[in-house]
Amino acid sequence: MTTIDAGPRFGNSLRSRILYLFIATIVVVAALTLFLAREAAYQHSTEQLGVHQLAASRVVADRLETRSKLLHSGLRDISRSFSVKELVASGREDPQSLSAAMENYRSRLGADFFVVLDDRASTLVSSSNIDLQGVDPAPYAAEGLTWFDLEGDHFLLKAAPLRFAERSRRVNAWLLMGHRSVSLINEDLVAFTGMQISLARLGNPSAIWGSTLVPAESALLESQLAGLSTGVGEVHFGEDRIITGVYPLAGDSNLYTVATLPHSEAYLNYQTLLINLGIVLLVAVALAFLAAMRVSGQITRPISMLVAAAKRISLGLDAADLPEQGTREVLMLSKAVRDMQDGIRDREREINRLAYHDGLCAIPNRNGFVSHLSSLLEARRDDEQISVALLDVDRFKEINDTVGHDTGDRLLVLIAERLNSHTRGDDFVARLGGDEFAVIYRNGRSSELGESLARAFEVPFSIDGLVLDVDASMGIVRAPEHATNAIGLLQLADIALYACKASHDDFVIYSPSLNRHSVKRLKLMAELKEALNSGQLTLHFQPKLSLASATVNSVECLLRWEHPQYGFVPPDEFIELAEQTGAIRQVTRWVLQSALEQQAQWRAQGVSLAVAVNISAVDLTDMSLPAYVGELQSRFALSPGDLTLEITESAVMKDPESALLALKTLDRMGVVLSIDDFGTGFSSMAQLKQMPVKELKIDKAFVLSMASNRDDQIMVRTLISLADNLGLETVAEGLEDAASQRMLQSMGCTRAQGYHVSKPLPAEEFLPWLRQRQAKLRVAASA
Amino acid sequence: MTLLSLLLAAMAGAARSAEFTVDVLDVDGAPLPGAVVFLEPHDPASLADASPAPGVMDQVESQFMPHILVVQRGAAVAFPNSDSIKHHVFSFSPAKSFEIKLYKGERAEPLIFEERGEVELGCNVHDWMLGYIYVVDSPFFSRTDEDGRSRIEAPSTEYTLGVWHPRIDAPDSLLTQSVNPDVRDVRITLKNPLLSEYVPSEAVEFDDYD
Repeated sequence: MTTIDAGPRFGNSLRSRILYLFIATIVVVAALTLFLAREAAYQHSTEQLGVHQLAASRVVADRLETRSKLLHSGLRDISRSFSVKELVASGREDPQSLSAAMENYRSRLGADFFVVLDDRASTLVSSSNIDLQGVDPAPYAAEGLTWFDLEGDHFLLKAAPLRFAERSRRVNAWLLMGHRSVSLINEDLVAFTGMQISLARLGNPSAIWGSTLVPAESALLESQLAGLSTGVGEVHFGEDRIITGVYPLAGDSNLYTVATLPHSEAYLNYQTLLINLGIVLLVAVALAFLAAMRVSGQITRPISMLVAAAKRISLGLDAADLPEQGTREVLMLSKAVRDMQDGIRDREREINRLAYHDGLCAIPNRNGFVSHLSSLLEARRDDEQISVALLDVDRFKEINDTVGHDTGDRLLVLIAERLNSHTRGDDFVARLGGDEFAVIYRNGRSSELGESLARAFEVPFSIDGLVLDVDASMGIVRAPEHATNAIGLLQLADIALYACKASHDDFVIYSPSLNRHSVKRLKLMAELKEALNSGQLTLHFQPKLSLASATVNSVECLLRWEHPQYGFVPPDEFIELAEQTGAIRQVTRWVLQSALEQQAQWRAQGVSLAVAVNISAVDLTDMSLPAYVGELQSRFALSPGDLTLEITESAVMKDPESALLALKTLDRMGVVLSIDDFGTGFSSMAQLKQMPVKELKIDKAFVLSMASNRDDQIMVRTLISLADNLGLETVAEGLEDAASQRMLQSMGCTRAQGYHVSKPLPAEEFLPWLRQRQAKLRVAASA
Repeated sequence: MTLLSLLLAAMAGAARSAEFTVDVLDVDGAPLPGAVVFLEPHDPASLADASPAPGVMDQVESQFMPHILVVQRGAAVAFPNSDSIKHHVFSFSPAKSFEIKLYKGERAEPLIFEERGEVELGCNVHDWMLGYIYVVDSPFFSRTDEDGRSRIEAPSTEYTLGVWHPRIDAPDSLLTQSVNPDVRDVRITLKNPLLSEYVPSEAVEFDDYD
């Protein structure tokens, strides 16, 4: 049986699987979301940072250009000043005045220094020791950022030509002012941009030109400049990660602004975002867990109910607690289980009907009978008595063969009806099979039951105008007296039934002696073969009197079994059983051998006697029997005509065709064949005529009282006349008085046997008996 | 001064006056109009002792008129203002540094130009105004015409020929060469391209005045 594990084992249940799936999905989604959010946030932050840094670099560039333009335009204005022109014109003679004026303008423009060159590029005046002697100032008069390097320092330098007459082609002097690069990159930029700003030249060599970073960090940055390229990058100030944004200054391919920001500052918001998102996802997982519990509960509860229902159904119990609500699948499954249960119930009913009911007679069958009887026995009160009658229709097979199976079946139906009508309402009638019926009778005397049932067969049965007089044998048992279970009761009833068949009574009530008898029979069968070898079997010989000559020249050999335990065992008791088991073959051969051996012995003693041996129907199907007979006769040098084989009429009729074949073979060998118990069977004259028989034996039932019974006389006379007409000899059995002998003699009967001649005699007694009789006859003849 | 030189001067003075033709061509061979051409005799004594002719540098429609004025050293130049607005004419040229503060009309006194060379004129309130007074130490000067030719009546003697123009790319925009007495026609071809026609300046209103 398959065990459905519906237990709450967490690992494998549907519920936990759903749960796992839910949680796994959520976790995957959460992880993916976190990952994507992280990526997106990081990318966004990086982009933002890039934008921010680019903006910062633009601010720086803008401020530098503003400074440059301011300086440039200021210088041009100054160069057009008439006063300045005057001062320049007299600059050689009066440099102090020019220098003072220029210092004033430098201060106005916020420049770090000024220089005035004359028309030959010689320094007229200068605010510092910066030496521009020999420098062509024209490039610094151009637009944009113009840088001047001197001894490692870097300057934003602007120049303006001074012409006395503005339209003049001749430059009379150059005014120059400049900012040191380090002073351009100042704290203002940090305030503007929120970042540390450095101005760097990338290339060979890379150098920081100015920075808002503290000098140590600036130096660190300068050392890592070579690894940086345009855009967002990263450097390290010791342990600190620093995000850098490198963007070129417009108009100068080598100069870059480098905006720097500590990594922690740059991505601060991103970390907070991740924590918030993580909390949201944890809450989502918790909610999903609850939802999964609920959903899985809704799915698994009806399934658990269905599992329980299926278990009840498998145990044969009624399962009514099926889920009425649920998903469509569950409802479909529920309906399927319900339909299955209904189907099982219907089929069970039908199987029960077939199993416990007899289809032909519409009454319970053997199973039904046993089942009912068992339940009655179980429920029996102590003082309650239950009788069981087992019925068997006598010679039903012959009836069936004669009138046909259809009529036989209808007879069984009528018998069932008859039994029902001859019992009380609470009695139980069943057909156990074939022609066997059984009746359960409660709270009444067994003999009442037997008598009542016997009456059921008093009136003949009429089927389509055919009137059948049917007898039945009955065995009756009682519970609890004889047995207390159904099988035991049936077995005992069977024994009683068997006894009834033997007794020709209407019914037999079981008694323990019957059972012993039965056991003995079975034991006998087991011991029969041993008996054959150990000399327990012997032959007795009954002489046949030739009526015409009043001489004895033939004997019938009769088998006797002297059992060491039971004593004499009548042939009726074991021959039938031997036929059923097939042991009869060995018995017959033993008898034949013993008979012929005795015959040979007699002949050796000067006595010539024909012997007659009974063979059974089973022997007639043994095709090796004629050969065996022939072998024995040649072994003992006997004439075939001195052996008579007696076959019962019913034996021949069981299988007339093969019997005929065997008989013809024996006939050709010269063996004399005789029909035993003639007149008791149903042999047809036509069949009899075909038989290669020489002799008919008239049953002793007709002979025993023929002297006083006129009907018997007529019967015997008719039989003898019949045999005579067929050219057959006749042997009368059961000759017990002289009157009958005379009658038989007068009727033309060939031979007779019986107690009037002699009872069957053992071999050692036979010859003395024969000699004595011959002596008597001789005395009588001589007298 | 030697006896020989005095003699020569006497001879020159005795020589009859002759016409010099000077052609000034730029580096491409195109005529350069408006250039100052002058002859300074090697012997200053040969110069006539006449007083130099005065000059006038007018201001018309906020331009110097003429653009280039040539005068003999020692000449007085008047700076009348023909415009209805004031001008502030000045020069910081070494040859003559002066300033005539905001004025109108004829009010200004003429100025005597004692030094040879270029005097660049500007107006302090009108940046686009540019003019030149070129002072030569000789009465023999002229300016090239449209064909780049100038003619000077002067006695036959040894001269230094000078050609000046603000667009000539040379020291002080001046080219000089000695001229023998028998030479009458001189062709001057510039070695360098002309300087730009004007000075680009966003503060200056441009006019075609060169």
